[in-house]
Amino acid sequence: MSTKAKPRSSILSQSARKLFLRDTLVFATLTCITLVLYGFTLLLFRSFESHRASLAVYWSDRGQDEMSHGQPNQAATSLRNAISYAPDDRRYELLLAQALSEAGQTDQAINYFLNLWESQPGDGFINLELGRLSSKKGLTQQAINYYRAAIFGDWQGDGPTRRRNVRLELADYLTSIHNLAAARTELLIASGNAENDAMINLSLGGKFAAIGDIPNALNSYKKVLVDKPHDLSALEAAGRLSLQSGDYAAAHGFFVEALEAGIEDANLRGRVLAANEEAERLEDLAFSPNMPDYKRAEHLMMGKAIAEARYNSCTMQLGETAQPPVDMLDLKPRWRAAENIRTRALKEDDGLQESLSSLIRDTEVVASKVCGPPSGDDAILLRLAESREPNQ
Amino acid sequence: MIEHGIGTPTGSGAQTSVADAELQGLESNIAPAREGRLFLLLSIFIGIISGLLVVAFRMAIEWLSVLLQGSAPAPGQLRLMIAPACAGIVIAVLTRYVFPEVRGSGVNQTKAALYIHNGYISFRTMVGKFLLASLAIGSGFSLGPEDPSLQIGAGVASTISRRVGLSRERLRLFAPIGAAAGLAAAFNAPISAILFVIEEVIGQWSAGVLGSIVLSAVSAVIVARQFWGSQPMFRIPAVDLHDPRELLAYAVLGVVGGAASLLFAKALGYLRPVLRNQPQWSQMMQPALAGILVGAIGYFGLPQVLGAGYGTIDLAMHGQFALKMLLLLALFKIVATTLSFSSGTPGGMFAPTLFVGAMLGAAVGSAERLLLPHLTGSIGSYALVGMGVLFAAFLRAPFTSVFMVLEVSGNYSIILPVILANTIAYLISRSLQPVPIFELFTHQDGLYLPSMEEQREESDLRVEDALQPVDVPILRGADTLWYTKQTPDPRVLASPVVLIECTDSTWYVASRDELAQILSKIQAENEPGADSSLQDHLSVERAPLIFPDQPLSNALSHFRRWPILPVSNRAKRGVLEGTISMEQVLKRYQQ
Repeated sequence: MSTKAKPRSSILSQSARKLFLRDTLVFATLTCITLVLYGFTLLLFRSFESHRASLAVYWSDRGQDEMSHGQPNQAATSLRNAISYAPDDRRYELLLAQALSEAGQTDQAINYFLNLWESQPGDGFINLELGRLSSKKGLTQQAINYYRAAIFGDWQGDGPTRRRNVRLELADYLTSIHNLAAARTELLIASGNAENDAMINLSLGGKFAAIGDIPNALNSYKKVLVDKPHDLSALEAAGRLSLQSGDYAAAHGFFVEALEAGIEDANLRGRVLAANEEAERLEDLAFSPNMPDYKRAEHLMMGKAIAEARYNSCTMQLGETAQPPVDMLDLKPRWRAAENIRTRALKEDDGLQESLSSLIRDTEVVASKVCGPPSGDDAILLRLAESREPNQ
Repeated sequence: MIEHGIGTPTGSGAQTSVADAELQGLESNIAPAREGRLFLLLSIFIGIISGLLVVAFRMAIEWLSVLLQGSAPAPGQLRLMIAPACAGIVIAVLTRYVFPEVRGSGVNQTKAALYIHNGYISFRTMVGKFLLASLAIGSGFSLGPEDPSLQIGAGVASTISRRVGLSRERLRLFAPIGAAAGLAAAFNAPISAILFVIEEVIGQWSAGVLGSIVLSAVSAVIVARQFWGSQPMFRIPAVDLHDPRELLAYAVLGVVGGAASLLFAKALGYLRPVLRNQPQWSQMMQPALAGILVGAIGYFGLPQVLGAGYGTIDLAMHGQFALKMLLLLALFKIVATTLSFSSGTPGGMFAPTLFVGAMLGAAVGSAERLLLPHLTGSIGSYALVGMGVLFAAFLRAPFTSVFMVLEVSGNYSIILPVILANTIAYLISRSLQPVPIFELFTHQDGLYLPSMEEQREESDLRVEDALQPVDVPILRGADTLWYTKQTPDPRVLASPVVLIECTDSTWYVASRDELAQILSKIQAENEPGADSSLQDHLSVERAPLIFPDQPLSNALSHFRRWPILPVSNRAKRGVLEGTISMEQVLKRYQQ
């Protein structure tokens, strides 16, 4: 029994040993093959990765170069190539989106920026670009929302300046779509937040003027003149706004200062001179109720003489045979009644002042309609009539 | 085989023969346990080596792509036509004379290896697939690397298992293990790869092989991620379901995807056999001609359709194409892939399918964004779901398609749109194209591989399907022989069989003759044995325990011994649900 058991266990252990050796050899061989294959794959992988990186740099440099040379279409193609080799590089993505936008490929640019926006909805630049693109597409509310998100978004670098610029851009956009109240609100916020810088105030003045907010526009120009008293742009703009607002004396003052500061550009100088003369004459003829009575009475008497002459010439122009318009016929008894008005009485009677000023205005307005546009002092009086003397 | 690989006879004579026979007996005792251990360890090695090969394969494609198509393929570049045409000539010559088995995608070839050749895939085929598929895809043919990766993985598994000398049964199992590893590395998504292999290659869940498949797939993915990182082949954007009403748009995507997959399948189903039936000299020209035509699509405006197209999928996912462009890309990708694949050029269908799906998904997302801007989620979500939709409808792998999207996106909030769109697309595709595309190819090639779609849906008959109420007499085994004999139930004598309930809640089925023989042992109450229990006189064996939910086929072997089989209740021991007989079972199978 024992002699038979020994060979069996010996055979068994011999067999197991053989199998163990064989399996060890198999796994050693497989390990070697794996290591060799790993080395080969790593070599292939590294070489291609480095090639990809260099291709990405090459194409992005080329794209930026094309952008700077005003070739956004080519730049977009190059930047797409750059991204295909460096898909996670956000810089390239932004550049591509900009290139698409500049190339007028609005839909694709919007898609691109929207995609960037999904990962970074608070990014100021992306929101600004989306605002610009939406405004191009006529998506008003969307554009406003993106602009606002850009204002409150994250900015790298000089955040306050960028936010102010975005707000001013939003104000321009709101102005362009005739939403003047909203534009004014944005400008007021920008003005309140802005540091006292001449350039910024000059820009704000222009934008306030564009929406018809003359007091704030004038205020902005005046801030410029505090820093730069001889700034020609500010002086001219302030003069014109003062003229527009009926403050002829102030307008005259701004124009005089501008002329004294020395205007080298002949055209500009000519324009300022003409505006100054107009301001001077308006100042001479203005008959605002805010003026002292004696001065107003003098100006009204001057205006009466000019308007009466205009009435008479217009009546003559129409001739005896022609059937005068009803408005002209209405003026006749009023002028007859005004024949006896004297300066002294006028100074003391506010009702008479109003009546005469009304006659002068009506005469110039009716005459301009019936007998054609006036010139000289009549034109000045017509302007006063049409402006309805805002100071009243 | 192990029986021949180890311990071959070295001596001569009777003593040696006895010792050899003894040794072989011992080895056959050791072999199953050894194979079991080897199986798992080899699965890991197969995964690692497959992963490395797939990474190398992808790198080869990338390098060839840059070298042959240039670093920035663009319309108007003549090389876009010249490169695939020249590559087509090389591929045709090598396929004809050196690597005749490399045609096709790789999925059917792996299935054929599994079901026809006992898991055999030659080393030459594996090398050929690596070289020619990388050349084809790198030169611009509209094909993908996943299916060839699957075959390369299966080839690795086959080669290693042959060299180690495993049994035939194990050899056959290794092919899907390698296939899962190859696909997992190519997708960088192990769960999808495992599911695809189970759904499309093996066709059934088998616990015996599942562990090894998981091991190899995970090993392959770990290796691949050493190189590529954990992110998938394309950057996944933020995915979400913005508004529940968006589900309508996803339903539309399902319809569009179903229609597109039908078009794709019809085009391939028509052109492939037409080209394969041409004379041999013509077949040699086909890859080159297909290369020129596919290159022409790139030359005249759409270079994005060339190659696998992952970069373009990435761009579409990130909303960088307008609606018209997306539709054009989807349409021309179908054309380019049909030409490339039908010409016999080796390469896969997965990437083109994902490409078309992504374009259609992004197109539906873009259209919705134009029509209902406030309801639309990200275009990336639609592109991602679109990929799953085409995968479900065209490749007919609905289960994998859902998990692929979930695994790739890593976001389960998208599961509802995915399931909705995939189901609609799958149903449309199934209704209008009953034969799945891979099965169609096997039929065109003259093979009859098992249809995984049918196999999945085959319902095995269960015991309950042949179950009948108990209509035979029941005797209690604990009753004495005398008692049993004295209280005769008239049915007992009339029935050909009786059921005897034993005290341990088991059952015995006795024929009329057997019972009569037992009862004839006593004639009077005071005879010895008359007070012994009936079950003491039965044979020691008992009727097998059978339950209603078991496969009906399990019962067949028992009818050799038992005329009927009692079917027990799983909850209450000893309680019968009914009986089944051979006649009832056969009748049920014949229905």
